[in-house]
Amino acid sequence: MQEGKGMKMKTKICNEIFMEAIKDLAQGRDIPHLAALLAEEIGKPVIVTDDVKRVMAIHDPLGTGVRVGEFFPLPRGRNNDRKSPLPEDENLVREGLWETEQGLINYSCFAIQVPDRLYGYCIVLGAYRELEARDKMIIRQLSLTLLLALKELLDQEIIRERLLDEFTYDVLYNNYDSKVALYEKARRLQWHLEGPFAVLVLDTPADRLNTARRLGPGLFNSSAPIYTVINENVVIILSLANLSKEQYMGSCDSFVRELMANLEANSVQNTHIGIGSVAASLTDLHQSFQEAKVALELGKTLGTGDISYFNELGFLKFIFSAPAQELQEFAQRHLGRIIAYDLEMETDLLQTIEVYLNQQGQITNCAKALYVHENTLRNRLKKIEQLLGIDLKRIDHLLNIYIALQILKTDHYDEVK
Amino acid sequence: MAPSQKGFLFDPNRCLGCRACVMACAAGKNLPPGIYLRHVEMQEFRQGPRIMKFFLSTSCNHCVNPECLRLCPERAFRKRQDGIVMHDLSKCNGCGTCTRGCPFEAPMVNPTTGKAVKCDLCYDRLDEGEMPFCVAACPVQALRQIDIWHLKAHAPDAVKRLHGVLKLQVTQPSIRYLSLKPGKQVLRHAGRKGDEDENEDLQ
Repeated sequence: MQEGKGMKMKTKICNEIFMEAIKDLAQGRDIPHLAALLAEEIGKPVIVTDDVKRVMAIHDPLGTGVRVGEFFPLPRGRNNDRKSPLPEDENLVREGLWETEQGLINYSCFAIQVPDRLYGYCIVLGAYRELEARDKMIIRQLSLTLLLALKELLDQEIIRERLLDEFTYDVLYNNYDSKVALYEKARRLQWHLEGPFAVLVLDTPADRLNTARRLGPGLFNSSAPIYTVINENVVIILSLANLSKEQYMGSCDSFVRELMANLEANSVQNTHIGIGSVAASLTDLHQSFQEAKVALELGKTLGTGDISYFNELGFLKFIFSAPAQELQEFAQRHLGRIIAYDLEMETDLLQTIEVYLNQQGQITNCAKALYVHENTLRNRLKKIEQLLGIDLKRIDHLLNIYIALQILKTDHYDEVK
Repeated sequence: MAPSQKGFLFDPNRCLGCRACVMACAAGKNLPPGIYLRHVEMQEFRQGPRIMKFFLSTSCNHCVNPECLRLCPERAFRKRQDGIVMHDLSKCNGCGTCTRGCPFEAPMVNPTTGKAVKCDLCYDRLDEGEMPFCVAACPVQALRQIDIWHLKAHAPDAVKRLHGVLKLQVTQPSIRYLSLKPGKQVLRHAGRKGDEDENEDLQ
C-alpha cells in the first residue's frame, strides 16, 4: 500500500517536470534549456542531437568535463533521412560505448521520433541499467518536448533552406537584375559577403541529398559555409576571406576530408565532389559554379578520383567540347592498331599501356600492377612501340597516347540518370 | 518555387524531316535570311545488318551546366528559375566566345546586328501558356516541350542520347529522346528533287 503511494507521488513529480518543460517550451525556451532541465533532474550528462547526429545541446551536471565534437559518433545502422519510415516497434533505446579523452563511456541513446519520422536522439551518459524507473519516465516525457522543439527547428530550417536555395540559384546562374538588389538580399539571408569564394558541388544519391546538405562542417575559415541544393546536387560555398592563395587549396582539402568523413559515417556513399576555381566576388560565383560542375562530371567520367579540382583538369577540360567525330578519329589514329591487335591476338596491350602511364612509366611498379614479369612487360611495351610507331621515351608521343586513352574512357561513359 | 528545368522531348520515329520547326522559328523570331536557331539533319548508322536512318532536330538545349554562361566574358547569359538559358543582347559584344564554346553550336552571330542570338525557348509565349514556335509548328508532334525533372510521368522510356548526339554530356543538355524503333521512322523520299539545295541552304 505504502509502495503504491510512493509510486503515485513519484509519478506526480514526473508530471510536474513534464508540465514545466512544456511551459518553458511554450515560452520560447530552446533545446539547450530542455537538455539542462533533463540532465539536472536525472543527475547525468545529457546530449541532444538532431536526426543527422549533429549535437544541438550538451549539459553536464556532474562536471565530468566530457567534450563532444560537432557530431555525436553514434554507430551506423540507422537510416537518417527525415522521411525514413521507421517501424513503430523499433527499439527506442540502445546502449553503446563512446571513446573519449577520459576513456570509454557508456551511454544510452533514446530515439526522438514519431512512427514515420526521426527527429533526433537524446543521449544520456551512463548504462541503461543504471537508470531508475523514474529517470526513464522523465527521459521519455522530456523527449516529447524535445521532439516538439526539434520539429519547430526543422520546420524553420526548411523555410530558410527554400529561400536560400531560390536565392543561391539566382546567384549561381547569373539570374538577377541589379548587383545592389543581390547584395541586399544576400545580407538579409546572413550571407557572409566577403570574397573570395570557393564553390564545391557534391554529387550524391538523390534520396540522400537533404541528409548530405546537413552533414557538412558548421564552420570554415571563421564563417558558416552555405549549403544549398540545386539540380540534384549539393552546392557548398566557402568564404576564403583573409586566406592567402597558398592556403586556399589546403583549407579546401581539409574541409572536404571532414565532409567526406561525415558522409561516410552516415552511410552516404557514392559521392563525388567537383571544385571550381576561386571566385573573386559574389558576382563571379556563376563561373566558379559551372567550373565545379565540369570538374565533377569529367572527374566521374574519367575516373580521376572522388575529388576533382577544375584547375587540375588541365587540357582534359577541352575534351568534352571538341567534336565527337574528331575525338574518335584521334583515339583511333593513336590507339587503333593495338586495339585491333588485342582483338585479333587476345592480348592486353591497351591495358598494359594504360597501367604503364598510370604508374608513371615505372617498369617495376607497372609489372607488379599487371602481375607479369618485368621482361614480359618490356616485350609488351616494345610491341606497342612497333605497332604504333612511337617512342615511349618521347613526351609528345606519350601525351598523344594519354589523350587518346582519356577519349576512350569517355566512350564507355553512358549516363543514365 | 518547385525545381523546374524546361527542355525538349524529341521523337525520332515521328520526325518527317519537313523542317517546319526550323521555318516556324525563323519566321516567328524574325531572323535574317540564312540564320536558323534550329537545325534538322539526317542521321545514319549501321545496326547489325540494318542501316538506320532518322532525322534529328536540334537547337539550344538549355543545359543544366551551360558552357555559354561559364565562358561569356560579358556575363550576357543567365538561367531563369525554370531552367531557360537567356541571352541579354544589351550586354553582348558579339565576340563569338559562346558560339565556339557551346558543344552543340547553338548560339550564332547574327550578321545584321553583329551580336549572338540563340533559342530562348520562346519564353514569352511559354509565360502566356502557349508553346514555342517550333513545337507548335510540328505537324506530327515529334517535338514537345517538357519539364526535364518531371519527365518520368510523361515519358518513362525517354533516353538521354541517340546516335549522332554528343556522347559526353558534361553540360547536361535538357533534351530527351524517345528510343529509336527500327522500321518505324517515316522518311521523306530520299533524293527527291530540291532536297540537296534545301539542305545546303539550311546548313
